[in-house]
Amino acid sequence: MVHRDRNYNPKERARTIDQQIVNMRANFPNFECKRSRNKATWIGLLQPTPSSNSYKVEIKYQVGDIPRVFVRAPALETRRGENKIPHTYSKNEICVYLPGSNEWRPTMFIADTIIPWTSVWFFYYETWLATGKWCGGGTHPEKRTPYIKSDTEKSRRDAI
Amino acid sequence: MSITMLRKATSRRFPSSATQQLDDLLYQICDKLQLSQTQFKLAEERYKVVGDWLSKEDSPLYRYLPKIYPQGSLKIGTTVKPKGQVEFDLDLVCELKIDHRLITPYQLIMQVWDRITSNETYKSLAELKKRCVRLNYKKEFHLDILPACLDTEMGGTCIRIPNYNKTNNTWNWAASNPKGYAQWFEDKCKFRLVKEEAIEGVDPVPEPEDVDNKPTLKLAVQLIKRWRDIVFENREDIPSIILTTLIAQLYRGESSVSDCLTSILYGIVSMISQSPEPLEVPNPTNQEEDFAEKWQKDPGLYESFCLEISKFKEQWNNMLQLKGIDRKAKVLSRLFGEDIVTSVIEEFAQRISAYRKDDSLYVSKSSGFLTNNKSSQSILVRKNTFYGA
Repeated sequence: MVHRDRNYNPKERARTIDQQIVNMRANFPNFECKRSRNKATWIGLLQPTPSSNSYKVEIKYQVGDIPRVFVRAPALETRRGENKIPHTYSKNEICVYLPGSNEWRPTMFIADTIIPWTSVWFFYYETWLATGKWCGGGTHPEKRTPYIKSDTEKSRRDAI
Repeated sequence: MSITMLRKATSRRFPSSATQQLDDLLYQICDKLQLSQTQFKLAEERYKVVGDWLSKEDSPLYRYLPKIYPQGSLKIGTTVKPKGQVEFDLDLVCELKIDHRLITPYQLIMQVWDRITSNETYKSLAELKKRCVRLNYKKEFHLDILPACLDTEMGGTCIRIPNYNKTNNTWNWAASNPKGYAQWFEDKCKFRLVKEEAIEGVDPVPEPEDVDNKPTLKLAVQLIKRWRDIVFENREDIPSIILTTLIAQLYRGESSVSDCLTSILYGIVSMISQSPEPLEVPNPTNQEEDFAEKWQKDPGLYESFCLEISKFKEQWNNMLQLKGIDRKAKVLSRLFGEDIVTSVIEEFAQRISAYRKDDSLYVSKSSGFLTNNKSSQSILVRKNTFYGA
């Protein structure tokens, strides 16, 4: 998988890793941060609702790459009889935004975007486990995204 | 008569504690179980028309000044939709001003039956049952009309109701006091827990008075009745009146319905374990009547009740310790039914989604709790699209 951020534009003033670290510490002080050069890894707990589990997540970010979100504990579960968890890249990496869209830009703070989305993701994950329905919306790679989808592409797909 | 609706606020607030979150979920379950306001109005309309028919001047019952009024769960606001059945069972009393010594039980019920079936509409709906004349409104409810006359021996609001005895094929009188019972129950609902803070000298913050506030005791009764419907094949095995009475007697004024269930389950299981004989559940408004007569006659029923209620208590207490909406939901599904729990959780998720769509969903700093409270301690959840297979 390519982790370069398609939205990364060196001319645009991306937040530096120091800015990200300071901002994370201010907003989510319970996250531990490890840093090396322009890379940072944060590990901390998120709990979407008082009845929810607390999830240990690891956020990896390098300026110029996309931020990545890994669930470290507890291991994500599938529903009985199914082998997939919605909106995940792998067994423990979750996808909280649409790559290539403007939802995430390197000018933004992780604490303002990735972290809230992750907490919301866990909320939908738990209600999905309980009901079988993902109520949080989203899109899938095979379906392409509405904003990329051109009319010709749509009619081609409809023809199939 | 008034219908007590659920706290409307529960569908709007964001829970700030696990107890509150569970309470909200339980309110929603009760809301789905009970008669809706529309159904309630329809039932009220229907029984008023029946009442008119019975008490019209040309009715043979006219001279007894028949009065129709609701009793049981309809009266006290604890209706629960029977499992796997569309129709609610609603009980009405048709009280006649006549001394029970001046008429036989059979005469009484037949007079009501004859009058009802002399109406073409009711004729096709009516069915004679062992204590009542039932009107079957398909897909709505069964209106059970219990003919009654005054119990002048007991006095007060006591009445006598014809009761068919299958074993010797006879009709006799059953004693009842639905008005007295409803009053007793409503008084129990008003019980308020004296908060510990108050004892320590801190004035408790008074809870805002809300007319839509359904008393916690009523919610607890609905939930335990629902559990009964889920666990026992035949809901008649554990009559609602036994459960309602036990629960009301054990209620200590908790305002949280989950706290209330915890202490009631503890209370019932303790009572059972301390009693060498099957529990007696005397009618609080007529000590001579034991609601749990069934248990003395059929110890098997009592045994299975004891076993199931202990299991309920264990599962409930385990559920309280669990973390995860999904894990709690799994236990709640077992107790109150999967369909209802699933739809309540789905609606909760959809409510959160509505906030998100509306740009009014936030997460609390540090914890990540979702909230609708915009403050320096929360961060807006910006628009995002979950991606990935």
